[in-house]
Amino acid sequence: MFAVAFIPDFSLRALLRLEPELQSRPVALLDSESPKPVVIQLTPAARARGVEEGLTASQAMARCSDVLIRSRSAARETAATEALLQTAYAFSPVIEETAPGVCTLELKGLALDTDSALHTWAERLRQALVSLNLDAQIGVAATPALAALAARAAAPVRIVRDSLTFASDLPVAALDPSPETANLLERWGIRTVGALLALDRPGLAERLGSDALALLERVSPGRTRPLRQVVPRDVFEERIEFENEIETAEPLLFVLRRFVEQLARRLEVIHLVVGELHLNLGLSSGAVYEHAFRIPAPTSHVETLFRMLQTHVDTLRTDAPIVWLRMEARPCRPKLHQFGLFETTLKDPNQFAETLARLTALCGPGRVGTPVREPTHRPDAFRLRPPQFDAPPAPIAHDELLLHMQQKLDKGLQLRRLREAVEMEIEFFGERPIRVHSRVVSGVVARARGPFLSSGEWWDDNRWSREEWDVQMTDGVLYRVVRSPQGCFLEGVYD
Amino acid sequence: MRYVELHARSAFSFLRGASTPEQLAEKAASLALPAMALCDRDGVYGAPRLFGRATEAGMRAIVGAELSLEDETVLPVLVESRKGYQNLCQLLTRAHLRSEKGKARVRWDELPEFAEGLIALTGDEEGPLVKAVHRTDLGRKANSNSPIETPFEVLRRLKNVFGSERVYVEIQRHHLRGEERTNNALLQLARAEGLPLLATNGVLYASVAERPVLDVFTCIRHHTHLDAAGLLLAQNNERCLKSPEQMVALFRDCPEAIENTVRLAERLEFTLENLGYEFPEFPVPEGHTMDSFLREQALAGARERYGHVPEKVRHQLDHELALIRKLKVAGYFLIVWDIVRFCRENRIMAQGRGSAANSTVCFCLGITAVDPLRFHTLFERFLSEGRKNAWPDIDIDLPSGERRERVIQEVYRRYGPQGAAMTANVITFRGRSAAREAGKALNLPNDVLNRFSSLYANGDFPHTLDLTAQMERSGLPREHPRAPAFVALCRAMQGLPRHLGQHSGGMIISQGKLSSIVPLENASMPNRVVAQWDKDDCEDLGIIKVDFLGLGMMSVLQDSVELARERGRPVDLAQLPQDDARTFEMMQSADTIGVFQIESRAQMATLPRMKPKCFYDVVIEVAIIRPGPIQGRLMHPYLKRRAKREPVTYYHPDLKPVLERTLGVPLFQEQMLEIAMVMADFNGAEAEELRRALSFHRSQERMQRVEKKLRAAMERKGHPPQMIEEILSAIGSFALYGFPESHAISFAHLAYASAYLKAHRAPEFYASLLNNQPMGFYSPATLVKDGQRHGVRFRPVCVLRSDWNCTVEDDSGDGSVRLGLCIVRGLSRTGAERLLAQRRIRAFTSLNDMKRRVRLNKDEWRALAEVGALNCFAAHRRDALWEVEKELREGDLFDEVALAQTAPPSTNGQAEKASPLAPMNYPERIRADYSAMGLTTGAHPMALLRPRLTGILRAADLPGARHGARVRIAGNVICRQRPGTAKGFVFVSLEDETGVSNAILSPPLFEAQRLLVTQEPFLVIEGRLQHIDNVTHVRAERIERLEHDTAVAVPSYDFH
Repeated sequence: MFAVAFIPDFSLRALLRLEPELQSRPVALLDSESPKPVVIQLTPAARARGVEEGLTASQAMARCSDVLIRSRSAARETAATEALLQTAYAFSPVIEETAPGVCTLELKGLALDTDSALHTWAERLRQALVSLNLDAQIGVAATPALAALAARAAAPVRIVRDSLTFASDLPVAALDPSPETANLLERWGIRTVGALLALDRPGLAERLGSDALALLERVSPGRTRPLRQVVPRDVFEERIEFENEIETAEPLLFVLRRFVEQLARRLEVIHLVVGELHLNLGLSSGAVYEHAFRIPAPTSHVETLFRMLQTHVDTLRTDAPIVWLRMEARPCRPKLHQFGLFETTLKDPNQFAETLARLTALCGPGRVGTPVREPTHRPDAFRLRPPQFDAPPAPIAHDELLLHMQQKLDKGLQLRRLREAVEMEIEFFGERPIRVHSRVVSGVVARARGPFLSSGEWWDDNRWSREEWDVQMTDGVLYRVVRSPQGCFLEGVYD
Repeated sequence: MRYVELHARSAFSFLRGASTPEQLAEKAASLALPAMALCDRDGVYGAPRLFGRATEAGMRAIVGAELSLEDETVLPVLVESRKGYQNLCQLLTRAHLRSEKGKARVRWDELPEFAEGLIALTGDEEGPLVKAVHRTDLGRKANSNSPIETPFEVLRRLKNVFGSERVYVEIQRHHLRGEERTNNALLQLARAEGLPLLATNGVLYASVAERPVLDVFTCIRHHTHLDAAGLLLAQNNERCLKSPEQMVALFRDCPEAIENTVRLAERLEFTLENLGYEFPEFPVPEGHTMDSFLREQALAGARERYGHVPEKVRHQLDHELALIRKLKVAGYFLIVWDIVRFCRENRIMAQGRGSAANSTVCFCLGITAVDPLRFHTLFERFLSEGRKNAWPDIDIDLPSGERRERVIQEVYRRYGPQGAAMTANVITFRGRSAAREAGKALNLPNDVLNRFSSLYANGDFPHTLDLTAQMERSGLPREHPRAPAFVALCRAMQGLPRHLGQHSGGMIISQGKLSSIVPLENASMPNRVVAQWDKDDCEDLGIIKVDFLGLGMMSVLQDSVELARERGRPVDLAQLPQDDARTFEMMQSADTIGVFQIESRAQMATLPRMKPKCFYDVVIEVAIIRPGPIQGRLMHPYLKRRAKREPVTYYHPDLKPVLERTLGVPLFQEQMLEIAMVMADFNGAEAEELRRALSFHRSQERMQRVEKKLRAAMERKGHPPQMIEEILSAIGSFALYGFPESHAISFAHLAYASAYLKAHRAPEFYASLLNNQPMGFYSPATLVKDGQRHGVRFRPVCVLRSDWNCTVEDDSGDGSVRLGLCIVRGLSRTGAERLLAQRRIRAFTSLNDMKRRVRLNKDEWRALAEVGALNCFAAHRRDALWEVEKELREGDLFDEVALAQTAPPSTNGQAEKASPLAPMNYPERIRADYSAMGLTTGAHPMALLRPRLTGILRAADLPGARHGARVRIAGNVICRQRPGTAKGFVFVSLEDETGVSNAILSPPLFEAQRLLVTQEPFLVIEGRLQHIDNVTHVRAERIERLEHDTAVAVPSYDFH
């Protein structure tokens, strides 16, 4: 016997798994990868308002103005598939990833002899999936194909013994014919499995070839096949794209808690714990915030994990609102550690990690790491690369080295920067500076070279512009001064 | 203190410059530059526009170009003499014609051949010299064995190619750190090699405000967005046009670099003033001149047209021929005549349109179909001494498609690929494309841009949402930090060139090599060569063009005539009765679906009020439904005067002779010119300026200038202010797409002829309409339904009877239209040809026989079966679908013999074994028809929905319903229109099984239900019924979707 766990409207379900509150709202899912995106799946509320498969987003909105249009998310489908397989793996050692949202399980050796036992087992499997917000239908039958059909017809569990009676009324699409065969059957007016079975078998085989036989075999109780066995990956990841940009910690924490619960539950099923958590926040500016949490003492305790995240998030400041969130749990086996005689350790490594996180948070976001120059004309533009203590330093590319040399040649003199730049008053005659005054240097400008003009990012609030001058004072010392909308500054001294 | 900018790129460098040549010229003039050079990348695309505007501003426009070289450096060259210009054009042509579009590269070794008359600058940061300096800086030369040239080697190579006197070392200062290091190197190199220095600013935009556009263009070129573009973007905004004072100050340490700009500019004597263009001479028989031969042909044509040539005609011919001789344009007439003759000999219908219809010579030569003497049109409108470029302009309408292509290829064949070219069509950023590209560069979300696009008005029709409101409705709030930039960019980018296309039919030809006059490029279409200038530029520079315009209706007329002739009921379009009652009846009742020009919703709403009774009424009908007359509020006064609801008045008694034929309302371009001549004493040249302003859609400013002149002249003559305003308003709005009378007459000919054919040769007409799709306002499905309402029988596609095209079968009545194989979607032309070839050899006796003899793919067989084209061999469509799936055994001898002896085909479906499949029911057949053909010969989809529609009137019921009654109509939306002239009102046409009903939606209703109206294929509209002046429509108050599980929709014609 075989069982199939089938998740109807899998792409939509994968999307709503982390946003169950949307279940009752009109939501339509588009396949935005296709050349002309149309609605492919939708919630019952959307259907009730006239939305249907095949409409464009504009057409769907024409019928239901408040329909929520969402796009397929490959990441969420991957996560949902992994959750499905990992859960199924806990119920049978032989499973197959049959199709998106369809997992076939072999029941041989599970001692499920009676319908009652089968039913209880199937219900447990379904409940496990439901706890992950995957509303599954479970079918059980003599062959994988029949079990798949049973699952599609199940409400929510169906055990099939008499395959022909069961299959006759099913729509022919349930047999999952190839698009070409489906198209042909539609042209022929064949809409049910019963109508298909009634056709002259040799005639059918003559026209559809092996495709026809394959279809008929799907409802034949005697034709089974070995499963393409898979072992679920050890990747535990959740991802969400927010409908509205997130600007405060509260909704972020709400989702993070859901993530942690989901991930912990998925790990529990296979008796693993969280060794590392990787957090990625996508910002509306296009930037991505990354943070890795090493769990000093691996655990799947939701509160511990969540507290660590909460500490970090409470002091997190991002440059732009958050538009998506990804979290990956890297599992490991629970550590059972015995220390050596002279080995010292922390009482609670997780607590220590949390403290470090607090300190990092206190310094401000992005204030820990290695500075890397940004490829832009904005002076001093840099970003901080998070510490990568394990990774070897990246080699400098040949071109980069040449560029560096070029810059050194261009500069000639070395500039000692003043951090921060010193406010300065500059007196101009015409367009040239003739006198400067600041707490570092004051006096008459003997010579000046410039202005060197630069400006950029005119397209939003970050716009900037500046005018640089190299000025030599009467004592021969050379300075770099800057005039910008923010004022005049002494930026450095040439050695 | 003088300075000349000698290195500037315009937006005609296609994404490498951000200002139009006109903007550059204006800015340069405002900065008091005495001259400037335009060096667009790999072409002289913007040169005519710079020349035109610079000349107006009293400035000299120097021609140049940046040449992309094979080593990916860019060499600017300036034109010194006409020889140099010819060399530049030929060099560019050679590089373009051997390359893919946009990838022309000049080879160093071909430069010497074309160097005469050209001056080389060493270029900016992309130039070969600066690149060599940078390479040397990096020390690559020293460390590698690669054959990279040193700066000295580059300079010597340039000197070898151009000569020492013709190479200038270019230096630029943009206030950037590090540039002085490069400039010092250039200075030393120039001194060492004894070459002059030349200061330029490497201008990329006219003023600093345009730098953002350049940054956006940079992003578009590099397929990135502003956040990621980083160092690709400009570091500052210094590459604008600068005043002589600024440039002198910048180069105060190097004054000779500034002085040299003036010296060099003085040396560059060539301008586009004298291109040396000559129209080809026409070879005439021995003993003839072109003039005498033209006279002979014109008189011969006159005898053919009139029989005996009346004195009036002879007099007019003498008058025209004298002017033609004086202007030395006889060759042009003969060449056009010869092309038209080629068309006639090859059975290709050709008809001159536009101002050529004012010429009796053109009429007698058979170029035009309109007798100017009959309509009293003015020859001087076509050709006069006073015109700046005295060349005539003849546009020839040809049947669109393959027949037009044959004519174009004949012209290429006669004048050689470098002697003839299509004129360019500059594709510019429009509202939607500007917004999309600006949005992408600003890294705005795709869905916002998609929504923005779908809210945008189609075509040229303005929409009621302003840019900011549209942006907000697309999901980009006004407060968004990038919103101001988005709006500013959308506005700034509008109208800037994006890339070069080819004009649909404008061709230019030249005596000698056209490639010496203007660079030529490959068009994206095979076997087409395109010039770098558009038709207006060519006209400005006196290059004669002939427009070969494809008109779908010309194909329809020609095909209809041929079908009628084949069926033994010929019709001569040249001899149509001009007073045919049935034709006018049809027009008066707006029964004009499929008729040229007068089938649109607006035309159909006017016809019952206009009630055309004679041919000239059709001319007015064609001319009056144009945005110009509508916007100028000229349409309603005309209709009221025609209906005698208001008196005929004139702006001024002197205008009575000018406006009498249009009841005091100016409707034609010629009338506008005459008004200017009468009321403002405009002379011929000024009237010509006005004519050109009226024809120039691209220049509002041009129109404003003429308007100012007109106003001043009328004021000088003491005309009352109100009258002046009325006249100016009429002329101003006319600039928006008003018709010349001669053009309207030509179009009215086609409109009348098509209406006549619809009335008297309906099967031939509908068959031809279907054969020439896509064209016109309506889908094939609508045309078939219209034909059926006119009693035409449409017979389904049949493999035993159908040809590739739709044909007319002789049966009862006028005959019926047999749908052709071309209608079947998915059946390839080659597959159909194989089928027809086999059928010609021997009729098919059975489906198996056909399958054996005709090789089609599975989809093609299925498509034929699905539309019932195989029903001659099967009991029903599914029977055929079952049979076509069966594989045939190859080479079965007994089968072959049996087949050869089989009796003729049985059409009762008993020949093959019946399938186990049930026949399609009626809705299934309709669905199959729409899915495989986009039309049905069966019932309209609305007929299937009708049983469950209650309280909904059919289109045919509306005329009988009470005015003011509250009614509901429903149907398939076949047309949505929101003309800019209708103040936001939307016109929606719904088709049902009885005809078409029309609804008018108010702007608030449309805005509230915009997506419903624009997206749903079937609608129910409720509102008040109005019968006004024989026009029936429903003023919509409520709109809802018509649910249609089984119905299939036809696409609508949308302008909203």
